[in-house]
Amino acid sequence: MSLRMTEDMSAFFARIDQSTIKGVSFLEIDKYYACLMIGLRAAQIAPDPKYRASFLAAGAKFPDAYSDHDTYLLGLLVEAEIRRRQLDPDNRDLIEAETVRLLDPQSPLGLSDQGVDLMNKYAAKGFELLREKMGPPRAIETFLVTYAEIFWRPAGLGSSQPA
Amino acid sequence: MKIRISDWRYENLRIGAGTEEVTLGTPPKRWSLIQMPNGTGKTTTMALIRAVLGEEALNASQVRAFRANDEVTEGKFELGLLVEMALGEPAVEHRLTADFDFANGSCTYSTLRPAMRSGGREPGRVLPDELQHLLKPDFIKLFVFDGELARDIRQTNKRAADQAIRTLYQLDEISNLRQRVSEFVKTKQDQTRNTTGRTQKGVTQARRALEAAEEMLKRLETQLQSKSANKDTLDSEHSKIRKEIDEHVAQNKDLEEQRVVLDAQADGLKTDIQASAREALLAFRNPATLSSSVRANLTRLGKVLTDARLPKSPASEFFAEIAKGGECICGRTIGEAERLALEKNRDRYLAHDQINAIATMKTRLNRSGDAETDYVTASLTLQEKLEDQNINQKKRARLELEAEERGDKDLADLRRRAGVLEERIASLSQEIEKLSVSDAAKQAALRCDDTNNVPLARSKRDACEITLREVSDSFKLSQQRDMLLSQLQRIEQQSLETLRELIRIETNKRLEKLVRMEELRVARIDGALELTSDKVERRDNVSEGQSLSVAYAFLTSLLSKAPFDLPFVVDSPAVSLDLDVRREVSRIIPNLFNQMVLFVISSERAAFAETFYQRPDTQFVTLEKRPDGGVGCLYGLDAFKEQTSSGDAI
Amino acid sequence: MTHEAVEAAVRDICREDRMPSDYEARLGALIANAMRNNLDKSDIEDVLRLIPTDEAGHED
Repeated sequence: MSLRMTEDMSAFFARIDQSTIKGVSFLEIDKYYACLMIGLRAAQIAPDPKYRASFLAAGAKFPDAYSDHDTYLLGLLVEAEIRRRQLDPDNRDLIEAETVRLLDPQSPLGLSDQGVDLMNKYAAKGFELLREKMGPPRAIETFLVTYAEIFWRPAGLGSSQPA
Repeated sequence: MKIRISDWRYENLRIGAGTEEVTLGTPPKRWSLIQMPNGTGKTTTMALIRAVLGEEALNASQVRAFRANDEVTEGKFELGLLVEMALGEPAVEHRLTADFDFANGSCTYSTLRPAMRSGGREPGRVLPDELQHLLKPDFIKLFVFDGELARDIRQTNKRAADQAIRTLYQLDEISNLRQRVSEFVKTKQDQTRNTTGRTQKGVTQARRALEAAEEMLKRLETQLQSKSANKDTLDSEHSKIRKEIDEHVAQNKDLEEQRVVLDAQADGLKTDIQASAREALLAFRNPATLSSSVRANLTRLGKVLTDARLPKSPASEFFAEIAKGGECICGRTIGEAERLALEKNRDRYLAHDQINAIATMKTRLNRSGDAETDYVTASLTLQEKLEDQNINQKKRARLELEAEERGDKDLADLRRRAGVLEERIASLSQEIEKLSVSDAAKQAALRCDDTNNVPLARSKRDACEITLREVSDSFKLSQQRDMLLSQLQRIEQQSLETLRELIRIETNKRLEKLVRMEELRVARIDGALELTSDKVERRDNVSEGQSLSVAYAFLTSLLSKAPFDLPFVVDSPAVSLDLDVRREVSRIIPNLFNQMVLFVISSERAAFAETFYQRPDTQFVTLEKRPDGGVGCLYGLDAFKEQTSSGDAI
Repeated sequence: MTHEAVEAAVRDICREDRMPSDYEARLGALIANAMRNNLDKSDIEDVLRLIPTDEAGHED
């Protein structure tokens, strides 16, 4: 079980320029992450997405570009689940059980199977929300600008308020 | 290979309660005459010999039919065989045994080879491989001779003669082979994906599909080639015009100066845009710098974990230890109920490594606030630069317009032509991309399929090629199968005909000696033996004795061709023969086989058994019922001569 | 053991069908092995592969 994009997500980003900017290129994980962040912020998941094959090799860790931030990604998943499931943040047993459910320090991504599944569903939902706000990007530069605008204007993205 | 019967033993079988052994001599005599009164178990003994030789599966009622009486629960039959693998080699004893369980109605076969020192009985029938394979019930009937068979050989509807030939020469194996060939081809064809086209029609269809796919691919490749060439031409035309435009603009000194400044600025902007795009991308990748709302979520989780004093210090391992230890840290004893509760609930607690992971996460989350350049700032810079670039490009275009306004008439035309070219180039680029893109996601985004995209058309062509190969292989295999099946059938038929003729001639040679009184011969073998004589064309009404003579002649001809030197066991061979015929038969028959075991009744002594009295290599055995229900076995000529038809020896 | 009558039949049928020269021996071995209970599936495949066929698909 690994990270997977939906068919639509992959097609949406398909026309983006593959060229590198000063040695940094726009990766498959970047596309996934862009969607994931929107889904996590909204604390919404797509119930039954149609996935493509994973863009990571079986048993792979987060790619190098994200290896410094992987803890954040796990944390954001836990945080989003707490909001989505409306768990009482003061109930330490509940919060602890939630982390146990989602995280698995032994696995390559640090996520349990259920955690990976949910992360994919957040990304899938995030894509749907993203698509409402922009057309298929053609260049990284313009994508980065447009994507930032979406985050300045949180309204309309279904961001639920902290519990 | 030479096979001899040395002896057999009965235990609680129909022949009589208790144990009795019949020995045919050491080494076994060439002729053994076993005299038993009617109804004392000749048929049973024949059946038992056939059963152990053929490892026959017997049903419960067949098993119970062998039972001596109601008191016995178990019985046994053991046949001693001496097998000489090659001439001059010592004979190896094989004891084939059937153990009967009369209560269950079951029978178990085993083999004992005393010389093998393998220690005891081996399950099943163990004989040399060649023999093992050949000893099937039909074959056994040929030498543990079934009286029925003698009649069947003459009955046209029974095909017993053919079957005997087929059995001995293993022609049935050719039939079995045909079956296996059919099965093999079926399995093979079932494995291929395409099951529709193993006909000529299917092959034609697959070939047409491939031709269509090849044509489509060729067409698309031609299109791509011509579009690419077209674009190259347009590109070079476009850059030529651009150069001319620049030259026209350069004719105005002030404009030329502005152009140089703008181009230099454009180069600088390009670099700036790349730098800020890089910075923005790096900031984008870090959730802590992506947006303030994400950072807020991270800090909130850090606070939740801190407030909840998570991770808790006790790890699930801690509870596991208590459960195992049998005593809590407070000194209380952990009983079964407590142990189960601890085991069940410890899953709710984190393991050590999870505690560490969460502790790390908490530390990092609580520090996520003090982040570097954030994404919003970087993206604003990027946006600014992109806008500058836009302005720069507009100014650049403006210069050309300016030059045009100053009265350069050619420039207007050049700019119009450049604009037209740019549009055509852009649309051509899109068409070329759609035709040539090989990335699956891009193909999906551009709605590519095998009728408008070269890589997809190529895959389709390859798939069609594989299908055609599979279908035609499958079709080819069907043709090959049909050919092989036909050949095997013809080989089987031709072999049978040759062998029939061979056996017919051989049989007639023997008949010539056996039935001298009239010209009785086999005219042809077609399922059964058809006879002819000098008197009538087809002899369908021959006497029982003549019929038996014919059967013997046929069988001995057949067995003389067998790869093994087998014993011949026969039940009451002379009982239905006239005295004249008996004399003839007893003169001829004994010389046909190297070991004969003949079961006789007292009435067969006249003109038949008595002809053996002078033969030195003969074992005379007389079996008789004892008053206690058991059976007695007497050896020698004296006892043999004295048995009456009722079975009393004296 | 294969009787010479069977061997002769193999020879005749192969000639009649104008089979390739190595085919006769292989078919003979196939039958002999079938009679000796010494047959593998791949033996059948080997013999089948030796049978020439019309080039498939040139009907109509």
